Amino acid sequence: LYAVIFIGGYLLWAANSKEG
Amino acid sequence: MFEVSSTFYYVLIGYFVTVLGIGYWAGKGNKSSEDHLVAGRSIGSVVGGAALAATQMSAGTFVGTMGVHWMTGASFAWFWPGLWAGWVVSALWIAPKFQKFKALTVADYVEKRYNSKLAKALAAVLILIAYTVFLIGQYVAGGILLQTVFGIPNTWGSIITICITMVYTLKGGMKASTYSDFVQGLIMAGCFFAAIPVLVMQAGGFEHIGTFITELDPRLTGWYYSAKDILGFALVFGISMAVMPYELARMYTMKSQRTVRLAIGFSFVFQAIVGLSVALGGMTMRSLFPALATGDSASSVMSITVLPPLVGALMVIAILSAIMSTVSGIMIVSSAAISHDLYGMIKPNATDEEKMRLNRICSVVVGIIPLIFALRPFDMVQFIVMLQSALVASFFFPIVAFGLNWRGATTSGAMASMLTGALTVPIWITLGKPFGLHEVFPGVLLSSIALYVVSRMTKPVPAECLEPFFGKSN
Repeated sequence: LYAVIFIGGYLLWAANSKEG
Repeated sequence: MFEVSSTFYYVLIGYFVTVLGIGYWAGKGNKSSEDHLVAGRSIGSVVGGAALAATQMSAGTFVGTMGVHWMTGASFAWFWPGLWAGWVVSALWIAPKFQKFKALTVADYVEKRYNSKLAKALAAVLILIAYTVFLIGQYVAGGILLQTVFGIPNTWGSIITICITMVYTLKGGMKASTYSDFVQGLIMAGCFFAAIPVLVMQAGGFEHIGTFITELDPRLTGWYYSAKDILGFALVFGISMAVMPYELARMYTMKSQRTVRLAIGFSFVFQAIVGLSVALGGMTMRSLFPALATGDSASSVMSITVLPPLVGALMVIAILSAIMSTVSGIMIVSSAAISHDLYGMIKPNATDEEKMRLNRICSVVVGIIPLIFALRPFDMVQFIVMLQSALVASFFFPIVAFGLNWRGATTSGAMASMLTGALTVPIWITLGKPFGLHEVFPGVLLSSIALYVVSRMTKPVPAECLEPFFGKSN
């Protein structure tokens, strides 16, 4: 015949982000 | 018209009963505009993420995008990373700021940030016009789908789709819309989990598909489009998607800023499953049916002739879901533009009950007007539907993205920016798209320049209006 790494990285960042 | 098994009808009826049930359940707790328009700000990140993805994916994702993959192979799927980059821009600088500022509609934001009722009215009117025409395209797609599969006359297909959507949206408001979107997102992702293995096996396995289409045209498994072209276009599209009022309105429904960021991440998961499956589906269909008249029929041929009845039925429901979730999100945003934004200005002391009643009437009206055009298409419709996405991006992107991040944006700057964006797009198309540039580029660029230049020349917004966005200035 990227998505896994990018989405995994993004979710890690978002989960650790702060309010504010 | 194909022979349709009774399984199809059972699945379709089951789906309609489910979304109507959600509408009834969500409507029980809805008392105020805050419940109706922003679901009481109670939505979590997984449900919210699925709703963002389901609203973004419309009829075009299944029918048009699969057709493009059938025609051009794998490389078009690199469109998704470009789109995600646009969403990341939003997650960093736009969406969480929207959640923090607890308004009810996007026009509310414009009024508060630019301290101007006139700017708010302009935003509400532009939203209303852009989305009325967007709905026309969605209705036509829903009608064609039901006609192709069930042989229901086009008119009735459109009417059934709209009535069901209208009933659950009216009864349950934003909460019903969000939870239906969640179910619809699950159906879209789930149907591909079921369909792709079946489809690939039918076609003789990955190895065979790849070898066959590579022999047909080596570009199908290579760079048919160059990565640069596709990412550039998708980034602009992604940024415009991130400021779409029907997506921004969903940010108000979430619990916290962290929820917003996570929801965008979960929407990527849904998008990746659907996007990669649509690409694989298109390529597989090319190996099975190399000579379809147009790529656009790949998805319906796949549902009816290739997949087993239950999976095929799910696929049809998924496409219908994509249409209905987009329509219901727009219905709420458009009717709020009339009942909350415009009526609230004309009659400032209107009670919440009055606005709610008007909102329900408006939902019916904004749902039905596009139907009239969808049933009697005339030449202008196609033209307007094509430009609405570029139009919305051009007049909203600067006032949202720069307004939230640059305190220097002024009221006159915002008005100039909206008008410049709204005028540039149709003029650019009328000129025949000079340099072959998509109209969204000059639209966003010129409206951004207008915002900057006019803001530098006019008096700033009073400091107390900026406080909710930037904190105290000293």
